[in-house]
Amino acid sequence: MESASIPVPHGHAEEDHHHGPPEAHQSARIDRSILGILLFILSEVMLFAAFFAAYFFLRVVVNPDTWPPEGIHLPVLIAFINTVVLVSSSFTVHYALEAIKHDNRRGLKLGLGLTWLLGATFLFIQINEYLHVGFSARDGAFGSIFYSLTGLHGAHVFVGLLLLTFANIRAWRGHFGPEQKNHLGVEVPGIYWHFVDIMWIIVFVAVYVV
Amino acid sequence: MGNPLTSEVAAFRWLVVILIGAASVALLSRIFGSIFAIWYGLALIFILIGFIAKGMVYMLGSPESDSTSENVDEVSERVEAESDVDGPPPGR
Repeated sequence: MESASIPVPHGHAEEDHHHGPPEAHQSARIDRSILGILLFILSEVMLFAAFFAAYFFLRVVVNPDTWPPEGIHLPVLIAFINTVVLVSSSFTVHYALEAIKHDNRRGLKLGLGLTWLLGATFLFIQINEYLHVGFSARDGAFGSIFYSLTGLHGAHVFVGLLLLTFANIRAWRGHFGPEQKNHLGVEVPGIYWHFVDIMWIIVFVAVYVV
Repeated sequence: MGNPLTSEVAAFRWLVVILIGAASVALLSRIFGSIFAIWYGLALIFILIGFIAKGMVYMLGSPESDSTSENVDEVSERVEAESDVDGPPPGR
């Protein structure tokens, strides 16, 4: 009864067992998953840009006599250590992806696990800093913008940790493989994690150093 | 170095570049003062935006370069044509 069989878009019914509509029209230059994270990150950049605009407006346009205001001392050394911790986590997530590209599952699990631990350490240190920094978001414009910028970034680290949690669980359950389509679950959180790190470098330099 | 938003490897390379840029901002703030370093840092950020915008224009491509998979209408027409050749299903 060959005449009763329904042809499918790619003509490989027996091999692919394809059901449903054909693939959507898409760009040949970018995968849809990557396009999704790209659009998401662009929207995030705009969100951070709004907060940075507020910060630089206060800093450059309003231009107060002293910045930070008298009596406020930021823990620069602790923030620097935190920066080292977070930047290290970018290296470990990169290592994890390179490992799975070479079919090194042990390296993948090690890299993802270390990344998660470093991210959690960063968040722990930042919460500890909030508890001991000695001023609140109510203490003037500096307090407001300090907690807004660092808090916004901390929220992104938290979301990144959630993504990494899923990636870790999947890695331990045997997911992912060397081919690009088989490790998008590591690559996409990796891009997001690098974005979070880059934003922290800018926040750190703008708020703590300059 | 590639568009930092299209692959993890490109994003990682940009992270290293931004790390070096941030170190230069910190150094210049010590030498020339905070306000100069802020303007320098903003200039670096705008250069970064320029590179990303350029990469995105390339990435969006042109209609000719897109992969054109069969659309629903074409598939439906083909199904109907093949059904006509084979004749109606038994029992009709």
